[in-house]
Amino acid sequence: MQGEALKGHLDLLLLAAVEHRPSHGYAIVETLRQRSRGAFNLTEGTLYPALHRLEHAGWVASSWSDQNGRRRRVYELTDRGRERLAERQREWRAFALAVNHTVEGLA
Amino acid sequence: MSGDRIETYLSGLKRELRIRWVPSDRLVEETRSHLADAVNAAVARRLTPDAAEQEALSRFGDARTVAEQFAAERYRRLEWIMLAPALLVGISIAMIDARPHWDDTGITVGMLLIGSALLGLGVTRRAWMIALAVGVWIPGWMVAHSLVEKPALVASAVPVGCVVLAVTMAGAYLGMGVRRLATYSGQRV
Repeated sequence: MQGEALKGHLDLLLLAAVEHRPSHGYAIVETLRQRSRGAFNLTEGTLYPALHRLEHAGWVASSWSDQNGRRRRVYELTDRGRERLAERQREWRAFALAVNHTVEGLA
Repeated sequence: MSGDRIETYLSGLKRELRIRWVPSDRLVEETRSHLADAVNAAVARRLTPDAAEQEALSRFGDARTVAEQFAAERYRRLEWIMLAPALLVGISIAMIDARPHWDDTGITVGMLLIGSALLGLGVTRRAWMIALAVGVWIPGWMVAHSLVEKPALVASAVPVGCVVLAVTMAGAYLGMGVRRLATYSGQRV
């Protein structure tokens, strides 16, 4: 699935990717790839502008961390980010349900 | 060879970011770390270091696209903020041009060109928004005025509008181009 199709959902995906533990950029990309079973094949460099935007909005916080001699920027969910994630998850469930009902013709 | 390609890419990314007035140090460091992780992961999958670098860079995306994304995120608000002075300049020029005894087209064209060029200096992309905000008022006023006074002259606003927008487009893109050129020159010094 290409970036264009994910555009409106990228914030939700990124917030969900750092929900359980702080992660650096490459780990976030890997999480997205693994959880989507390879379906989310994004241009990796374009995730960073989105991460910076989430940080600017106060939904994630980041700091440098030295791991095995390598310096990485690690992102973690803030309290506001957790609230935002819960809100977006509710919206997504309602949206997905409506689309399923429409596409599958469910009553 | 190993690492050279990544360092070249990072230099290119730094240049593309600076052209767009995006602070680059943190982003370049994050990219360096990301690419190193990606290369290590690819080597662990038994790719050669050279193929691993190639794959990592290919997945990360070309430097210009990445820099454009950063600039878009960073300047999204600024672009809208720049619209306010652009609208003010456009309305002011239209009001001067609409004065009953004003017939100096050359000065109007000069004001449109200079005004949109100065405003174009403030943006790094989408100069057309500035051009529209400055240029839409003269033809807009002509249409409104004609509808009230002489409906038959409404059509005359079309060629005038085209000329005005051509001038403001030229000005806005000239301003944005000068800004980019100045940034390029600053990099080379």
